[in-house]
Amino acid sequence: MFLDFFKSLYKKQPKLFYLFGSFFILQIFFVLLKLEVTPFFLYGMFSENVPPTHTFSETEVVIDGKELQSWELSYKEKMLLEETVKKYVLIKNNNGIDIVQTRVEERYPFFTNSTIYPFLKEKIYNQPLDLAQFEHWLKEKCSRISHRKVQQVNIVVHTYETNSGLTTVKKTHSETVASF
Amino acid sequence: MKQSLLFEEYSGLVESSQKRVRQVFFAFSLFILVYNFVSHAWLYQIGNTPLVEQEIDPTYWIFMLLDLPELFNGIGAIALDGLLLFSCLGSFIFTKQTITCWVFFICQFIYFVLYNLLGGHHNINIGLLFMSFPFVFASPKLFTASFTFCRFIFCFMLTTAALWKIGRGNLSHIDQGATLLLLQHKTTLFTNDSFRFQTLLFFVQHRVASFFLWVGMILLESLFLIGFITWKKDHWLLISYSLFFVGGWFFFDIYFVENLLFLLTLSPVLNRINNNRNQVLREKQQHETTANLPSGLPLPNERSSSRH
Repeated sequence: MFLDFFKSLYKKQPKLFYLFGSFFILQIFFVLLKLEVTPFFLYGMFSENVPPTHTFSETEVVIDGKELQSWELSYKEKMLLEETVKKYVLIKNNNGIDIVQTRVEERYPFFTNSTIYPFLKEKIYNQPLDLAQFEHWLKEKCSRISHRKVQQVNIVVHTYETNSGLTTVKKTHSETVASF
Repeated sequence: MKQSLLFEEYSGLVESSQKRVRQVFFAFSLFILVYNFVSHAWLYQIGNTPLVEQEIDPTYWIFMLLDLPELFNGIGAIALDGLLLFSCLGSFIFTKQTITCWVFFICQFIYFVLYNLLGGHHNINIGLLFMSFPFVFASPKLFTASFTFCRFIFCFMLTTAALWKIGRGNLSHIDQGATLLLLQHKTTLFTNDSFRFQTLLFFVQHRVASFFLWVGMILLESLFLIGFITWKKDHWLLISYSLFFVGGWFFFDIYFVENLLFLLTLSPVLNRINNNRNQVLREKQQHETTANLPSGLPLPNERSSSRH
């Protein structure tokens, strides 16, 4: 059916044949390169092997002493806050340097040594100054969620460990990454 | 010959459903827009977080080079959200034009990239993005070709998801399912004693059971290879994706409602939409027939039964 689709397009709608044909060829190309270029997506969700573990960490947002999770949030809003805070913590722990920048400079020296890279660097990466602006944005978000002016937001990373039978969990370490 | 007949049959089914599918699609899209609004996921509601998740995706880099996050901020964000809403409504109500469908598709692409950029994660909730494309064509032939193309994208998405997992050795990695569940839900597994989390904790504690669950999911994804060959087994794909969707929510807190739009490309759904349309047409015809008959004459059904 797939091949007949393209045969039919070739005969009756050649422009669509070239459009969709190019799309599939490019899709396969980017899959082989393991490079996601929207709309050519890589669909390898959850496929990377994860080694078994008994430790994990959780990032918590505390609004005036109360955890963010205690407020009723929609799924999308909860995801948005969790993911943006994770990004913030990663950059903060990387001395204010965008982790994407670190990865690109490690993996693609041909690109980082090019003449256009200094110009691109200013535009495509998060800058250290963005951290303070993010703190302001997050505080505004927390104020909206809690329906009041927030005084203090803490971002805390807790480390946990389970027992071998995975029946209990205990907190082994807490670190306040940021407080504003 | 048999293969080309299969394709022609599917094309015929799609072509005959075009108008109704458009209404169903844009009605569902409207629902998604409302759901996003209630979830504070419209662009103006997110606000312009300065920390963006661009990853190593050149499309996102182009957006940043063109300063599009700054452009679609404040008034720009409200304008984009408004255009999405009104183009969706326009496409639903005024079915004889495609201008609003073009606007919707383009705005949806911009929204998709900006939402993922600002939202901190590149989600694969691509159903609304891809499925809005066929409706930009008024011509039944072009619509059918694009709609069929979306079907193959759907099949490709799930087939390659299975291949990624197989290629990366998931079939020999017994701990994959259990470890992913633990890292997804973390302390909630141990603090929430609802039926759902007790079930999840069971699977975390019994890695072999998790492994079989994981393999089961890979099988559900692999089934979509059939979608490239024939449309006659689409009921399997419908069941498979329904299980995949429910499982994704139950086990991993993933519900990409937008991806349910891909189900429109499956023949049981198309047939259902067509049957509903035909049912309405039949009832309308019957009503007109009875209204036009002069009184005293038997109805067609009565005439045939009088022979017995």
